[in-house]
Amino acid sequence: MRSPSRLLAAVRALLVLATPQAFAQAPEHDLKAAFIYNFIQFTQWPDAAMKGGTINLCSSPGTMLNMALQGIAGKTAHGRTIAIVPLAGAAPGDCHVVVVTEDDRGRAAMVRKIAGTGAVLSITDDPEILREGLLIGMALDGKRIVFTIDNSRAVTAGLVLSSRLLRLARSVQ
Amino acid sequence: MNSPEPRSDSPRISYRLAIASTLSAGAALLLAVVLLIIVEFFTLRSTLLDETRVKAAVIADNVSAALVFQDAQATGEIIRTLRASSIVEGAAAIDGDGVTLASYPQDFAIVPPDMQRFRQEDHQFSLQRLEMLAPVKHNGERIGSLYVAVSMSALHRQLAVFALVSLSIAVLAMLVAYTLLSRVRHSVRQAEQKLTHLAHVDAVTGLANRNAFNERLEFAIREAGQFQETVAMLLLDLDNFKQVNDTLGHQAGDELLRVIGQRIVRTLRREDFVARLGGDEFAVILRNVSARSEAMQVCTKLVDTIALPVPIEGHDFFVTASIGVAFFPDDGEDSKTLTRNADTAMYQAKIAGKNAFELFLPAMNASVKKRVSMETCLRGALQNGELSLHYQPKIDLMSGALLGFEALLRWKNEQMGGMVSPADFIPVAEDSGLIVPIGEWVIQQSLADLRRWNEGRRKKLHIAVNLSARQLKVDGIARRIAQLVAESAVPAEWLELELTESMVMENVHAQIETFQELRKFGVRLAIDDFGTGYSSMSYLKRLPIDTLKIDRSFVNELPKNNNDLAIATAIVALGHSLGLTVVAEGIETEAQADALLNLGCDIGQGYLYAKPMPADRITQYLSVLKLRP
Repeated sequence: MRSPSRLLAAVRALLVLATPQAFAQAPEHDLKAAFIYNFIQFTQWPDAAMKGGTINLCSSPGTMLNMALQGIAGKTAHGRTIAIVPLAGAAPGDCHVVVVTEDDRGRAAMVRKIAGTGAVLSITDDPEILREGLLIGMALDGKRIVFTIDNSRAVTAGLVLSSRLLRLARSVQ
Repeated sequence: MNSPEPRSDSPRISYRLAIASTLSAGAALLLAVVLLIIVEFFTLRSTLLDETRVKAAVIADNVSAALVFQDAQATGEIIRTLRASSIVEGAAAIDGDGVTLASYPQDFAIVPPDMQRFRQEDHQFSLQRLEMLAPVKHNGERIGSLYVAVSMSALHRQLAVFALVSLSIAVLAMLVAYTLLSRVRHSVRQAEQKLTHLAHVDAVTGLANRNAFNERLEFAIREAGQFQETVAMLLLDLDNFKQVNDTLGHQAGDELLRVIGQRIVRTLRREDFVARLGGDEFAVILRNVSARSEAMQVCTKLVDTIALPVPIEGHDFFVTASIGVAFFPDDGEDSKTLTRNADTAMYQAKIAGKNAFELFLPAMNASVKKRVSMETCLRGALQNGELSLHYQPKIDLMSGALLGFEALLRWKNEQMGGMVSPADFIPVAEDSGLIVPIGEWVIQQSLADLRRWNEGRRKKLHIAVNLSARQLKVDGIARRIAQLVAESAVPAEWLELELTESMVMENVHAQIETFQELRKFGVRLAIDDFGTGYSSMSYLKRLPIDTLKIDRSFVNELPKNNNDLAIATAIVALGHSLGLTVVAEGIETEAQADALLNLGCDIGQGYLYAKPMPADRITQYLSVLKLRP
């Protein structure tokens, strides 16, 4: 029942309309992108943070994850379109979501600055950057993706993460 | 013999009625219980559906994120919370592709469920379970389903308990209702029986009453008509009951009736029937009488038994009965005729002297008719001047001197064929009460005549007037007579009242005061027909009487009949020893007069001296006497 092929089929079902090319990508990053989309869906931003018509997802271009994330660009959540914004050009307050990877270790200060300012849902799959104070950390457990949530930081940031989401997390701080 | 109540309704029928009404009530109650169970079933089912729907909705909501993340483990954990509900058989979370992500229990047999069955409804009932398919939504979109199967066995158990309790209550209610109903029925029946009893039983004697008698007579006649049998109907009237009632009061009278009633019952056969019709009247039905003589035997026994003394309050009372008998079918084919003819026969027995019985004869009707017309004529006799007085002289046996007269009533009526015998009309006058005004007239008239005759006489004559029993019962009769004497302006001692021996002795202690009162006014008293009745010597001594009259039956055969001579001797001796004057009546020969004179009898009266004469002849008679030396 919990075979990877079925899991994949489920993820594909989520992404199929948005990114047909995602099939070609490494399943791991597609899965991560799908998880990120789901995180967005189970997160509530304060009204003040949602001024524009889009949910800005800031990510450094060129990474495998960034490519996978293109698949969810244009999809809607909370009635808004998700837009992928390059992390480097972003100013504090521009991003609703920040996704960083191992490649962003060199921009730790900038990540800290953007992720630490306002209601920003910060997500990473790199355990090292996670220590910089990011909210959600993803990891691979066999072929499953598991995640941890730092809910106290999320609360401080003004975000409300759904209890349903918290329930699924491997650990919650 | 005496079962006055008619046969009541068969208890079997009333029992069946009770059962039938109970059964129909039970059927109605059962129908109500069945309907209640059906309603309860749908209520319980709808409650179960609501509860399941709520449960499923809660789980579906909880499981949405796990479904989104395809987290089978978390999905399984969330679904397993349904374990808390014992009625949940199993559950499964199905994603948008219809693939089961997780189920509880792991090996749930009916997973994956047949989704086709849930096309229109979110639920599906079967005999064993309720299946529910709740949508799992995320951001308003259906991303999968939650399948929950709930066992119906708990509902069935609840329903069974409800049915059992309802039925028990219904049965209990039936039992209570039946008990109450039968109790009510019982008391109603008792009340009915009591009413029937009251309607058919005489309260005083406990015998059947007139009502029951009529029913029984009708029945006996119908039965006898079918089997060609003879029924004898006896009508029995006590002759002197009224005196007991008047003297001793109603309680003693009732006691007397009870005793007589018991005597009648004891005299009869078991199958005979006795009723008290009211007053001092009883009736007897003798069924299947083989011969007239059989009924006569019964009557003889009844007359004899009733005549025995009845001890009440320390005194012996003597009552007698007159019985009339009529036979079905000879004397009447219906109860009305039979009763009327028995009544006629009874009347005849009374006329014949009471303490006797008479069988009905068709001729009696004629005699009764005659009596009735006689009564009608007698009513007018006084006003029409049809009544007159005849006087019979009374002579001093020793000296042959005239002492006075006995006044005798005569009635002449053209309609009745001229002169009517006093023996015929006096009983009619007594029964109808006409004797009271007639008796007063006799006293007035005779005293008026006597006053005329005594005018200028040195030795005053006296007059004897007969007083009837009926007159003696009139309230204040003594004062009334004293008043009549006073109005006539003559001394009271001129008047002598003659009372028959049986009349005086019949109810002596009730009348003794009247006698004493009369005596106080100065009126003299004589006992007539002495020797024919039963005199109590002790009463004779106490009674304030002046004269004894030897009955003419003892005078007739004097001096030859030794028995009569002995009786006459005894009466004279008795009278003299009590200081009374002795009178002999019916003297027709010198030999009789001599014999009586020898016995010491004081006064004589009879054809030897003079026949009774109308007043004008007496005037003549007196003038002739005057001429004698």
